[in-house]
Amino acid sequence: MKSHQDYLELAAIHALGALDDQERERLEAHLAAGCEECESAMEEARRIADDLAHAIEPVAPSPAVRERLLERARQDASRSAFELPRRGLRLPLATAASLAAVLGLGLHVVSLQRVIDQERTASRELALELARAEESVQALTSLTTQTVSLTGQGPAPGARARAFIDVPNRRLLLYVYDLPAPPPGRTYQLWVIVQGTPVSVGTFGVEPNGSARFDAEPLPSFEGAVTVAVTVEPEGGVPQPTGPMVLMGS
Amino acid sequence: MEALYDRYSGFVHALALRVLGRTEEAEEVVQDVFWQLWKSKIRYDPAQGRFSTWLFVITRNRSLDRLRSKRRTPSAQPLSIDAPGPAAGNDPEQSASIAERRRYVLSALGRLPSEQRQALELAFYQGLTHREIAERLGEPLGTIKSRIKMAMDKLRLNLRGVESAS
Repeated sequence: MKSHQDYLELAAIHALGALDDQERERLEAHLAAGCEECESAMEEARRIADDLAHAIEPVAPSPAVRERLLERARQDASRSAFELPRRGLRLPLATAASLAAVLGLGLHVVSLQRVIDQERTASRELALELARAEESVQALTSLTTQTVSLTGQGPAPGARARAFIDVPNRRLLLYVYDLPAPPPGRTYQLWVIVQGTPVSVGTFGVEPNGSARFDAEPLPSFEGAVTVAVTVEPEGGVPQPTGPMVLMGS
Repeated sequence: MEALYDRYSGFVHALALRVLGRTEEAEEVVQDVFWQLWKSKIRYDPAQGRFSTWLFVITRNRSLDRLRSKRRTPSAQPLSIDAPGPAAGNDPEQSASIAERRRYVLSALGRLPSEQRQALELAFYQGLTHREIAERLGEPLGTIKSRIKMAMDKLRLNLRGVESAS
């Protein structure tokens, strides 16, 4: 029988991915039994682990890696397109149906297989997107999430946006509508302004229809009232706002 | 897939590079991780924490498996403000706030007592279990467990400290 302090220690180690199987199972059983204190300690420890994961500065792999990966995915799709027709041909031959019918069926199977492959590719894309969407739903529905409506300013009077800010979880989701594309060489930059000091949250572009979804993570933590604003800035963003403001809300 | 790759490949690559120390091998880990994601051989469960942390642990473990198969030891340099990682990739999405956040975390890590920081880095960045850390450092298991817990508690306080001071 473990003491409560033991479980709190295990939660901290588990968030770092450093528990062995036996201890992990023990902790998971304890959490499944509904210990709220350990659950909240686990949450807190996961947030710190996330910060630690982000402490590593990204290094872009060579563009060839991206090309190789996409080429492999393309080959994978076309390889599976020829597997099914071979199986599909055997049965009609065995039943001695006419060759023309067999060929017709074979071609039909090939085209069906292409559709299946396209659907399979789409479903993988969707599974990955779904995983991230589930995260977004968690952010939107968190009890600690507050909503800020932003209205168009200066050069973009018709633009509108809504920001969902989850301060304890350091998350901000921004949904933008009717915002024209930024001028060439420029980007939109999102700021949270706390006590008069703007802090950059990141840069984003817009879709041809003027919409955008921007997921900022991790958000710097702050207390008190916050203003959210979007400005036009040079590509890559700047440490302090310099360009015209296009959206703002408090 | 492409969007996911563009967003996270720099992160996956940097971590693999840190563990393996060789660009070609790190790039193979990048390919492997994204290929497995693509083929749905590894699945993300939101209940287990953030996507980025999950991807971090997957990448770290893949890199360590690779090292073990070649009977090498991790070449991971400790993270510190004095020894920042290699130059950032040319990624326009790389936002100023993430760089700032990184500085906060590195500064908070830098303020941990050295033995706490060592235990935490062995666990998180080098993928050792708490038992392996105890063996490596020749300390009792209980000491390592409470040391990691204290490191996490202190890190939380340090992170709050640097944020409120900024």
